[in-house]
Amino acid sequence: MEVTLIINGDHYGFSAEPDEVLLDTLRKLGFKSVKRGCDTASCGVCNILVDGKLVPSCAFLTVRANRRNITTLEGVSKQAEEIGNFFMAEGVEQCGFCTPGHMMSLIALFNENPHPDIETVKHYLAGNMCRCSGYEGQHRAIEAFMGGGK
Amino acid sequence: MRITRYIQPNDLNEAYERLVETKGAVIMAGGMFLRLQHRTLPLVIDLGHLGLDGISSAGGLVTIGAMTPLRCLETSQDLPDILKKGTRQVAGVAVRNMATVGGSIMGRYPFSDVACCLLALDAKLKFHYHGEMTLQSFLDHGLEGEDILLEVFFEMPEASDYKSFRKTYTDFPTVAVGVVKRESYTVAIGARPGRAKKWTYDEMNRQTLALEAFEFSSDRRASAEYRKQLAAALLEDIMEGGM
Ligand SMILES: Cc1cc2nc3c(=O)[nH]c(=O)nc-3n(C[C@H](O)[C@H](O)[C@H](O)COP(=O)(O)OP(=O)(O)OC[C@H]3O[C@@H](n4cnc5c(N)ncnc54)[C@H](O)[C@@H]3O)c2cc1C
Repeated sequence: MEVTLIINGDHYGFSAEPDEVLLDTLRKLGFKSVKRGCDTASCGVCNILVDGKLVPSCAFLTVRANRRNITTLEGVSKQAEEIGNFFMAEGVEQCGFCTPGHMMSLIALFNENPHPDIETVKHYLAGNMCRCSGYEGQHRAIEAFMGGGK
Repeated sequence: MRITRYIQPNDLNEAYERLVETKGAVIMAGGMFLRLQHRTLPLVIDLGHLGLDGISSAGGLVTIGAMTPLRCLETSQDLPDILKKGTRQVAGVAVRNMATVGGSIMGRYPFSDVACCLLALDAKLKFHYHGEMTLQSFLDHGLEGEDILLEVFFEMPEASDYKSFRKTYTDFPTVAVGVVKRESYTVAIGARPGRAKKWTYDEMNRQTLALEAFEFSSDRRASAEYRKQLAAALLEDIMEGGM
């Protein structure tokens, strides 16, 4: 099926099978920040925004995204870098595989609620798994970002 | 999941006709569980363009469209506490932005937090072809033939609460308890691990905590006895919270 995807503001014509998901389409188109993790919408590493809403791209049919606005980490790199600097300062990242998904969730949260408290942040990030850390570093970094970085 | 054909009708009658005339056709709501099935679907009918989402409230009656995502239930100001609390730990926000009320009901999933809450609320369902029926009746007997769920509705309660026990924050519930207060108290228990059941009490007291009306069974998450004790503890917490 022929679809037009609006990815980070640019239009892409694409021919997708009815069961193809955005995770595969985006990676084929070169958006490699979108990672494949559990493939069951349980881990958060493939999170992207569709029309501003956070969704797992592994469960979002490409044909369903026709003419809709898709945002990947590549499209919000400046905002992600600002938050990422705090992640680096706290030594949060080990393998870094989950970080794009974490960033997309955080950006979605700050778009919805510019001044969340840390409990709201933890609740919002509960769907993002990290297999290296115990999440403490992420939470410290985000608190530091909210305290001074924003 | 493999899909042979996918359509996104703009008209409800068309969606229904395609559903009944095509052998093996399925409705897609959030698509989150449909996608996990290991089978080939000859026709997927996406309800996304039918305007079946939204929450409204008039004269004490609350109506939730079948395509309303669970995240809207969590954040809405117009819904009773039970639905906010009952949806906030369903996976992560990304899942709750896609998974719908309709998908949660139509799957008749025994673990469903949403079905447990709506059962406690004595909710009714409105289908395109079958018309209205109680959620209880649908959970007990299902439907004869195919249909499209349009909305779910219930009377706004005086008070309500919900608690579940989960091994991790976003895990499926090991057991869940919802309570709704009107003239009497309706207690619904989900993930027993069978489908949610409800019972109505004139008042809540030590005798209610015996949970005589409910059956529990064992599975790999928990034994029947453990579940029963957990459910009683959750119910006691809800009572101590002022219900
Ligand atoms: C990772 C993950 C974790 C989850 N954890 C929980 C949890 O902890 N607690 C919980 O309660 N739920 C949980 N769920 C389930 C979720 O809440 C939904 O119940 C589930 O995703 C189905 O909703 P859907 O909108 O995706 O439906 P779909 O997958 O699109 O559909 C499900 C079924 O319902 C049918 N259907 C859907 N809508 C209609 C309609 N309007 N009319 C007729 N038929 C219809 C479909 O044909 C299909 O058979 C989880 C889901 C995922 C993916």
